[in-house]
Amino acid sequence: MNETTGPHDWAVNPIVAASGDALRRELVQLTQSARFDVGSIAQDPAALEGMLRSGGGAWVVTGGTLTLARPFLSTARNSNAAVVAVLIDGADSEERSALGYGGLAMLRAMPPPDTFQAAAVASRARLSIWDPNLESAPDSAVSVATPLSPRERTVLELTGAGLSTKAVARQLGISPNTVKFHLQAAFDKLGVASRAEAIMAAIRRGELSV
Amino acid sequence: MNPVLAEWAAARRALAERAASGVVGIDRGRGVRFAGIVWDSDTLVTAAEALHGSESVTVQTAHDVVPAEILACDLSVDIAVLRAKTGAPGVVAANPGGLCAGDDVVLAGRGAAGSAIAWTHVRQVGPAWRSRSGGELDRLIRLAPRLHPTLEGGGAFDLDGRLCAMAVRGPRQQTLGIPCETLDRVVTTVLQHGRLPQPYLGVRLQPVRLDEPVRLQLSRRGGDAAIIIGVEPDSPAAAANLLFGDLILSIAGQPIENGIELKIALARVPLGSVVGIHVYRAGATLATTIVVRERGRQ
Repeated sequence: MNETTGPHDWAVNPIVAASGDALRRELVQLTQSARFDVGSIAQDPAALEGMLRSGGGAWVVTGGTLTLARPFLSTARNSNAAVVAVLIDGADSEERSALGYGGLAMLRAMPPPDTFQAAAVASRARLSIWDPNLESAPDSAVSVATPLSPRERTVLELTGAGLSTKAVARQLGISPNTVKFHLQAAFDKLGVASRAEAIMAAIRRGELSV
Repeated sequence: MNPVLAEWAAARRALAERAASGVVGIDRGRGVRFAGIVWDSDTLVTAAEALHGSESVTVQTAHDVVPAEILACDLSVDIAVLRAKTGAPGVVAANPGGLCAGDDVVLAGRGAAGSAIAWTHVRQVGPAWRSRSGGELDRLIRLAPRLHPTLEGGGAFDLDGRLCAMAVRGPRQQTLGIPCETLDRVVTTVLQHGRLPQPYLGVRLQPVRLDEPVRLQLSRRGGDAAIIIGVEPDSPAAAANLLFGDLILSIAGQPIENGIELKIALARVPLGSVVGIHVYRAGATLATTIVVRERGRQ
């Protein structure tokens, strides 16, 4: 690489900013599952503003409905802080461009931890991220993409490499029926009916490597 | 019988018999049977999805039942290559340009009780296309009827008794023909390497929607880009210092919007080659190179 940078700077912990106990708890849990320590918690935009004024390079996790998140988003934008917003409703493109700025990542609730992590990195690199899932989403229903288990991932990866069910079973030291069980579970989570479709869907979702 | 009709019927019967001699029945156990094509006296091809992850199957020829070993499965083009000593002569491939929409073809397979035949026609012929699973097919061939399971993986033969395509089940209950050229390409690779080599970089990607200013800054036509959410250790991506959170913009000159496009772009690059890759990191574009390696090999 022409320019090599070290691992990303994880030193600055995020501020979780949201009104409502339950929502804050969920956001803290999501942040921690993505292996970030929560730096501080802001219960209202004024508190967030204070925290942002004091800390350099601070970034913010907020979410809920767009209405709930909007005051926190504007506060963060005024301080030019990176934000990951985990939204349970969609926003049209007009609202999006009104809100969006370099450093705002908007994700559909609840994202898998690695999506959250990637969005955090990208927003701190001043990228503007928009989760395509927010576009098609109806306002109320929250569809949660269930991540594959590590076992389902491995079974799918070996299947994609052209291994037979028995060969996968031998390699993992499990029975062929268990392999079939994991495959079926992966099919269900990915909403597909065939091996080829499952592999493609898993690559598209970032569950399998290329 | 009317002599013209009698001649017509006899010609059809001869063609059906010839087609049947180029196919076998494949039994993967529990009463599931489909068809395969005799490529040469040691090699069969069949539909990869129909095998359902089987490791070994038995093969019903016109006179015998023999075991078969599955050499390789390419799910992206739905082709599996099997080794079986059928002793039968291989099929003769039709001229790739010769097939037109409306042409009559005979589909052949083999059940336990004997050969299975269906007369049908080609519904559509088109240029090279890419399957939903990212496989590249040399021509689009759509066949008319819904495919009987016994005929899946069997051959579609023209009126000279030459093989045009392998009949497989496509999406929405369509019957697709996997063209002879594509079968030939896959069989040649498998017989040469003993497997189907898979190109590998070692990144997990998710598509992200770029906002307008970033899209313009990067002069991207499409609105998506692929963000790295995982770099596998000891992979080409790790060796190229790709990092978590990087956006892959293009590889070998091909713009990339998601993992599937990366997979397709890699399939066109020779294994072991060094290709250029463009990455967006922390507000700047980086150009570097990466080695395209075979998965599972250093």
